[in-house]
Amino acid sequence: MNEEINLLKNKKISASPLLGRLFALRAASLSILFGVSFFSISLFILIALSPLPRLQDQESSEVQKVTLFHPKMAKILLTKERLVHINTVLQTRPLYHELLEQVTQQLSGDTSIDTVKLEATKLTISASSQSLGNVESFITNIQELNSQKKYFGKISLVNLYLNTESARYIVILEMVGNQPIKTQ
Amino acid sequence: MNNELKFDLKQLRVLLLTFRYSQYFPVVLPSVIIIICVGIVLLFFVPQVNSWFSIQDEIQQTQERISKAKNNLELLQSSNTQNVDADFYAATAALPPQKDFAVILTALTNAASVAQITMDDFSFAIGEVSQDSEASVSAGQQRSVPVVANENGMFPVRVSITAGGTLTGVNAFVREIEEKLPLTQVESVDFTEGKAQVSLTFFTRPFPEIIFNETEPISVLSPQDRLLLQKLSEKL
Repeated sequence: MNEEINLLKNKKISASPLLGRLFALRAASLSILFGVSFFSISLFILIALSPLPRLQDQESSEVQKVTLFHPKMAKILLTKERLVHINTVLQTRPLYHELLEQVTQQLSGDTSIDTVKLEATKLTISASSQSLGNVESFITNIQELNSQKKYFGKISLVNLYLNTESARYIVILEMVGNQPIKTQ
Repeated sequence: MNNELKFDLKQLRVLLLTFRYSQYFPVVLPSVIIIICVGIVLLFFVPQVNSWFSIQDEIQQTQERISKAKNNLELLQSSNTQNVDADFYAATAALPPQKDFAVILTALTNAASVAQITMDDFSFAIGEVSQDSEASVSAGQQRSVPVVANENGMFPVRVSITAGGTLTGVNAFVREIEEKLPLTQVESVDFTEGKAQVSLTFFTRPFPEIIFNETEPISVLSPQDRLLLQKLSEKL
């Protein structure tokens, strides 16, 4: 009976931990509340004061200024585009005048070239001279030229004969390459 | 009905009072506050933080684009308009955007004149003269040659000419045609007894579609490009 009436003593012992925990819980909830509020407001202010809109306006202003130079810009871009393809052509096309000039430079004496047939991978020359020695010299010179410049993979002597009417020795040479002749 | 409603209200009041004076009441409010705060963090705060980082990235990219646009503007303002026009003219003279037969004929006649050979006959294989039709022009010969771009995107115009002169003259003609503009490639030479048949290819390439990007850096011409343009200008 006394224990049931006199509750104060028991309450004092058992109430302190619970009060401590309750206080901690309330403190935590208030801290979290204020923390979330503070950071949310800060974040809101940071986003609101972001310089992005101003920068976007500045970007559109700069772009607007550049658009006034579109014709000049187009010419520069097109010039660069043309140069790329011009370079491709210059690097891949053969210069046949160099080949023909070097072939004609191999003539000696009274040797002259009668016919020339030049295609992508083949050159056929018909040359004539009154002297067989000059003809032979021409053939040798052509061989040396090819050994230096590597224009052709194979040089064939197609025909060598004497034209009795003109009294000239005629030689027909056929020079064949495995791929289009490169002179550069 | 009223008695039932009164009974429900009375029960509700008992429930609320029971809850208000129960041992769990002091715990409920802070717990609810914590739960709501956690919900706010997860549902609103975290997305806003992501948004802020995205904004920062966007700011940086915008600043870069502004810088590039300013550089482009400075480059365009400082470049001499006459030089740009001259470079453009030289480049398009070397590689025209479309077939110009007057230019081709002028190049052929000039080369023949310099080489001192006579140009007897010529024929073109041009393919399409317009987008809707195919045609060919030839001196006494009809040919239908479909014109398609080659592997380099060029549209070739093939010309065959018959010329009279010495081999030296023919060679000079070939040299002249190869060294002058527009760009030409000699395909074959057939010289016999003072007559030569020369096959040539003139190159054309249509202008590509230009997509302007003001914030993409415009690259200046490299020294190699400048040298090439100078050589092309000398050939004009």
